[in-house]
Parts: sequence; structure tokens; C-alpha cells
Amino acid sequence: MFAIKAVTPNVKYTLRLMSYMKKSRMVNNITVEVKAVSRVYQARKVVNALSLKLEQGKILGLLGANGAGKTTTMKMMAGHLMPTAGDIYICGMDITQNPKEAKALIGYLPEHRPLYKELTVDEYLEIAARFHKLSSHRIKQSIAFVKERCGLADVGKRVIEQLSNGYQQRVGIAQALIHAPMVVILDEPTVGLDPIQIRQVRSLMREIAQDASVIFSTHLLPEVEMICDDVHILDQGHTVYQADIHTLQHHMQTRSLVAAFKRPTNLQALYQLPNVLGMYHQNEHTVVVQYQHASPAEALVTMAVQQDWGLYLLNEQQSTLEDVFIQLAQSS
Amino acid sequence: MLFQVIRKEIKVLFASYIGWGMLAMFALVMGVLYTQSLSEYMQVMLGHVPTVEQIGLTKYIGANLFGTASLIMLVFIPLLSMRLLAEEQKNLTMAFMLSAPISLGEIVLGKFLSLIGFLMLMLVYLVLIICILNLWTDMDFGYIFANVLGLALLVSSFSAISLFISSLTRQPILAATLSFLALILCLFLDQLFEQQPNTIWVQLSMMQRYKSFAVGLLNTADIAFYLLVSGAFIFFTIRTLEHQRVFG
Repeated sequence: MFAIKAVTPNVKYTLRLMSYMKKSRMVNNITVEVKAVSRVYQARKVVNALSLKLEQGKILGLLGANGAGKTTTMKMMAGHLMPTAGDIYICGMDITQNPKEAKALIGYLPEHRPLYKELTVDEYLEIAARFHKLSSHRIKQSIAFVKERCGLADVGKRVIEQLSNGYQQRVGIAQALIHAPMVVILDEPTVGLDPIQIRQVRSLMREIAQDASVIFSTHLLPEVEMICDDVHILDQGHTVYQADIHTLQHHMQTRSLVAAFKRPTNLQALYQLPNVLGMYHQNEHTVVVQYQHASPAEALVTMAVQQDWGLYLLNEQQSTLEDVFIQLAQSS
Repeated sequence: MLFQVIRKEIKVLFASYIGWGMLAMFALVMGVLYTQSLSEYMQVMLGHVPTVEQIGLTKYIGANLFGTASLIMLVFIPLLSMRLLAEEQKNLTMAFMLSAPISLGEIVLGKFLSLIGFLMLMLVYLVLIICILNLWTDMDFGYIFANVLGLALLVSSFSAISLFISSLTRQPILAATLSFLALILCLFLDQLFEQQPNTIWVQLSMMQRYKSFAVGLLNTADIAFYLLVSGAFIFFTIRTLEHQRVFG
């Protein structure tokens, strides 16, 4: 008994994962596998032949505008909706064939928090723990653990209704984590929170991903850049883009310099600078210079001084995921 | 798992004070009726009021209390069952139960049993205040048993029908209104078809079936009728939720 109590959460997860791998046909630490899943709602294909794979310990960002099919995809992964076609495997377990076994491995926070607001935080989490068949002595431990993790330690005795929006969101996340799931699915977990709370939720997600896989949806692009390992961009039910974050950042290598000059400039001269791809006027004085590989900033300053253009502003501008997203959404 | 679902429903019910409020209301109405019937019965016995026929205390009080209790259930059950599915769908809290490793059958059955369990508290109270009279006089326990069983069976089919209607809509008020109307229709179907006493409609009337229990008779056909209605509507409810999972 002592030995079991002494193991850290991380080791516990690995042990649990190994036992699941033995039971199911799980291979290569793949926790979620979605195979060509479609969902038809009133003769409209909300999700169309979506496939994805996620390894243990990775964070996957589902990105898309409103109505792109993010929520439907997540609902299917959590077993709330049946896919019209295709299969979903959680740790090698088919969610439509073995829903109970698969759901035991998933922690899900829907877009609208499913809170019974008349209960206290402790009561609510206890019900969540019991629903996931935790034994009586583990319930207390688990509640204390998730409360600590989600910053709810001081509000356990309070009624959920009286908590602020941010705290209610934490309760929502806590109920998804209570049974130490292998896959945590969070539908827009940072919507409606203030900047500090958003940062807390993000660091919490990173913490969760040390043991489990995390799938979350967002329409905030910097969020994906900040914490995801894999990105999946959806548009009207179709996969527009699917890669790990490094590949995506590689795609975004075209960068630009913003330069402002006091006196009218001969723009053609700028094309002689190394690595420059193109340029355009942002307004009368400001020019945006797009380049590849290395920055031509130094050469630009030298040229501006030589030709006396009166350079008074030079700013590096990295193209964001937003640019890529708009580009992808338009091209599809 | 079934037990956990029941436990959760009861807990939420009492956390919102609706549970306590309904119990208090039931106790109040029954208490007033009880004392009134008792004093009326005393007056009959003392000869102040002429008796048309001799009637026992159990039957006198029982007929009053059980009859009224069934009408109170007619109001309470739609109100309680609208919370169980329609309101959960509206507040989107249903996702909490759907995420847990519980089957739809367990969810529906658990919700149904929690409703029955809560209403049984009221029946226990009713039986207690009637049986307590046994201290002063001999009560007819057979009659009480038949009435309680009849009321319990009536409550169970009411609950199943209400739960089914609650699963059809996301609007709690609509669910409550619809199921109230449906229950009234089920109860008084025989009155509507009074002119044709041999049609199937009279056979389907809940009141018609309840009458034999009310006079202290246990008829297996009536017991089977109520159980079948309950079972059928629980099954329909599960099917509705399954349909929502596939097509909704």
C-alpha cells in the first residue's frame, strides 16, 4: 500500500496507460485516433471526413471560425453524438462500440459549463467522482488534488452559483480532471475569462499535458501558437490545415519590416536589398517590406542613411497565425 | 451506477429547496384534510349528522386522503419531471451525465427511480398518519395496503409518462404543461367516453384502473396495466435520448 501511495502522478499515469495498452490494441502512445469521421445534421455535413491522431502528452488545438464544426467534432470525441460515418478510438477503444470504457478515459468540458449551480463545489466534484466510479477513499484524495490544481482550495464549501465566472470555469475544468483521464477535451476553455485567468488556464493545460493528452478548441490564434504541439484548422467541416506547430511556424516564415521615412522615397531601390520579396505602402510615409530568411534591416538602415530618406521608424513584424488562417480559409 | 444517478438527482432536488418545499406543501394539505376528516367523522359518529350508510374510519379517511393525494401528484409530477430532462437539456447540464461512463438506460432509469423515491416519501408520510389511528381504533390494513399500492402504481405510470414528455422538449414550462394535460387526459379518459363504456378508451383510463384499488381490491390485470405503462414510457424515453445522440 505504501509503495502505491508513494508514486507520483506521472508514474501513476504511465502505469495506467500501460494497463490500458495491454487491454486494448493501443499502439505507439496514440491516445486519440479519429478516422474519416463525418456528421450530417439536417442534410448538412457539419463535419466532413475529419481524421486526426494525437499522442500522449501532446496538446492539440482545434482552430476555426464559428460554425466550423469544432464543437460537433469534440462532442463526437466525447461520445455525446454518434458520428454519421467513421470511427473514433480513445486509447484504442472504439467509442461507439465500448462507450463506457472509452468515456472512463475522457475528461470533457463542453462550451457551456455543465454545472449544477445549487450545489457546493465539493458536492459537485463528489458527484463527478462517483460517476466515474472512484472508490470512497480515492474520492477525497482526488477532490483535494483537482481543487489544488485548479485553484479551488478556498471555495470548496461555497455554492457554485455565487462564484465568479472565472471560478465557475475552474470548477468546470476540475470536474473534467477528477478521474485523471487520459484524454482531456476542453471546448473553448478561455472564453469569457480575464487575461490573468486566461494565463492560469493555459498553464493549467500545459500541466495537464504532462500526463494526459489535451484537445482544445479556440478561435484565438495566439493561444494556439503559445501552447499547442499540433494544430488542426477547420473550415465548414473540412480540414483546411493539419500539422505540428513547428511546420506551421515554418510556413509563416515570410516576415516583414515596417519602415517609415520622413521624405519621399524611391521604393525601387529597396528591391536591391538582400532577401526582399516585395513591398507595399501602408500609408504615405510607411512602407512594409516583406522578406525571407534573414532580415535586411541593417542594409536598409545603411541605404536610408546614404540616401538621406529620414528613417524614423523600423519595426520587425512577424506574420501571425491569423494571416495563415485567413489565407487558408480564403483559399479553400 | 444506477444508485449514483438516483443519489445525484435527490441531492440536486434537495439542494434547490424544491424538494423541501414540495414535501412541506404535501404535509400541510394532507394534515389539514386529515384533521378535518377526523372531526367530520367524529360528528357522524356522535349522531350530529345523519349517516346514509355505516362506514369505517379507515375507509372514510382513506378515501379522502388517497383521492386528494392522487390529485396532488397530478400537479407535482409534471413539475418534478420537467426538471429531470427538459431543464437539464435547456441548461446544458445533461453533458455532465453523458460524459460519465453511464449508459442512457441507467440515466433514464435512475432519474425515474429518483422521482418515484421522492414521491414515496410522501406516501410513507400519508401511511404513517393513517396508521397512527390504530392506537385508538382497529384500522383496516388490507384496505390501506391496496390503496397505497394503487397510488404507488399510479404515481409510477404518471412519472414515466411525464418523463417521456420531458424528453421531447427543451422548454421546461412546455414540458410541465404538456404532461399535466396528458396526465389529466389519461386519468379521465373514461369520462370522455362515458357513452361508449365498452370501447378500449375506457380500459385505458387510469382512473378506471385506480377504482378497484380504491375500494380495496387487488386486481392483477390492473397491476400489470400500470407496470406496462411505466415500462413502455421509460423505454420510449431511452429511445428518444438515443435518437438525439444519433440525429440531434
